[in-house]
Amino acid sequence: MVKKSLWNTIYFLSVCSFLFLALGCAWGIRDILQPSGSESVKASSKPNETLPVPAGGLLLGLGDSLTRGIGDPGGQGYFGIVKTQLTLREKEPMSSVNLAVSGLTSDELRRQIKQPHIQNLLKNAKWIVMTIGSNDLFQSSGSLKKIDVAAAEKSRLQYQQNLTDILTEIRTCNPKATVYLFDIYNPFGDLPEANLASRLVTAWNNTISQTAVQFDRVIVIPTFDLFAMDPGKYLYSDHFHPNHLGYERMVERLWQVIQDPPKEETTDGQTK
Amino acid sequence: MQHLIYNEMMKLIRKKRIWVIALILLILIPIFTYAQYRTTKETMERLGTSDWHALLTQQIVDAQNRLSSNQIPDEWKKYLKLNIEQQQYYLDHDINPTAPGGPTFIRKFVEQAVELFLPLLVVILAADIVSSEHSAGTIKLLLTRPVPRFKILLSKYIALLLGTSFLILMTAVLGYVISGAVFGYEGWTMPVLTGFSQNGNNLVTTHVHLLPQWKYDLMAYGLAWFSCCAIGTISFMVSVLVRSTASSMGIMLAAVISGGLLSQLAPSWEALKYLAFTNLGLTDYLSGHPTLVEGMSLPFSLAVLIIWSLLSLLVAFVVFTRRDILA
Repeated sequence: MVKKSLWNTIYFLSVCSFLFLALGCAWGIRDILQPSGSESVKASSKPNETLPVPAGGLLLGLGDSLTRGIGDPGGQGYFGIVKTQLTLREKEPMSSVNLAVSGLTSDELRRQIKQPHIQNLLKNAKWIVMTIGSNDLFQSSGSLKKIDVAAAEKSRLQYQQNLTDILTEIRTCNPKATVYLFDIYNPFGDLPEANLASRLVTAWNNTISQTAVQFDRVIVIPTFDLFAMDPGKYLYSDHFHPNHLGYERMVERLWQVIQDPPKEETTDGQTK
Repeated sequence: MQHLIYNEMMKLIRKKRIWVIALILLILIPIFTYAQYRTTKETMERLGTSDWHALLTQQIVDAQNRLSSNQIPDEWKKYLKLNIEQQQYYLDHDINPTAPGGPTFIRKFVEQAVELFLPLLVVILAADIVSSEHSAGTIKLLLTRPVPRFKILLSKYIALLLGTSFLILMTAVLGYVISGAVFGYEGWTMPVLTGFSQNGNNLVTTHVHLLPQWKYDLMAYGLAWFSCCAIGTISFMVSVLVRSTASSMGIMLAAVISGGLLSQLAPSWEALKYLAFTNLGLTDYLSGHPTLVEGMSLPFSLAVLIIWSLLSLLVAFVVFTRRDILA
């Protein structure tokens, strides 16, 4: 008897759900085919002002494939390694967001950081690490066989403008965070055309340094020398991105600087 | 007629098949819940923040990185691009697409399950509805009754539709109850965006509007129900044609799985869109998830499913009423 009533309940439920779901289906079809728009979406509301950032601070990665960590078999890249080291050092929990996109050019980065939610992240960042420019340079200068010096020069000027815009934008959003900007290395150091490529890279690196000094707390981290002598050892098999060893070398540089407390804070036992 | 349907429904329930399905759901839903819980927790740990803006921003950037890879086919790139645009839209309008909670879980669940998981459950339910009468030898008893054959088959079909409805309801309820224990039971009134459509490579947002989540869930499950009924109908035909339960189930499982696989494997093969099994993802039109194969829309998918269902019914009824039951 109990069984019988259970069956009847199921039967009843089945009939109900049949009607209910048919209603839902009809409703759904109507909504898709004739969007009522009864509750239209209001245009971009202001993003909330503060992110709940942990006390340890926010590490923000910007830029191209180097910050993304392409070439590192572990997928960490310098960003991942530095993040781990910082996590170990900081007593308080910290957070990190990596906004780098492989293949990003300075122009795209300039547009990316205009987005309100990315600005919101910028505002809350304590450290900003970035790599930008390699894609501008190596896309514009054409194939390695015949490097187009004129085109490279033209895009260098464009790059200078973009970098200035980017750093201005960052400083406007966040006057306090330190920006660590890696410069460009020459991945083709062991190829016949190395000299010309190196000259280009140096010119670009000068641009980076000259642009960076115009801003407070924007620190350029040199990488050119790291890959100059033995590119094969520190580059990934694509002969463009660093491998794990290469990224570790970049981290060594970055770590030396990132450890220093920000300028304005007086030493309060943070120096180690 | 009512008695016949009632009778068939009782057979369906008594066969314990529906309890097997309930058991599958009881085992799988906690696993899915845990999987989702883990992913959310891991991302949160990785980023060190629980703020969904940051999580979604990171997701968008990750997708952009996948986009820059040369490995993926163009159709996938288009799909990713549209997806990014949609996520960006959520971000720009300050609406969290995945606020945790039971209602969100069942929404995400049905969107994932509608193409494969739910059809498989329906197949389990439907595959033997006629063929089991052959296997058990009860077909003769059934047909010697003074009732027209088509009425018998019709009552079986209606019972199957009712059973399918019950199955969908059970999925929703179990999903809500189980996931709610982890994510909480709130969120029915949370706003969800719908009305995205695609025009070539672009996401069209002119018709985007907000729905409370309960309404959205109801619609999504209604659409999933429609797909499941279509699958049920095709299984029903196979069950009439094939006398052994095992082979009818095998045929349907193979068809459902390969249909899903094919559209993933060869999104540029446009003829695939005329298969019923590639049109099961009706909820995609609601969520605005881009379709992989070009030229699919809700009316198109509905038409394909309806045509397949009608043809299946026709075949099933013609075969069943004409067949000699001698063996």
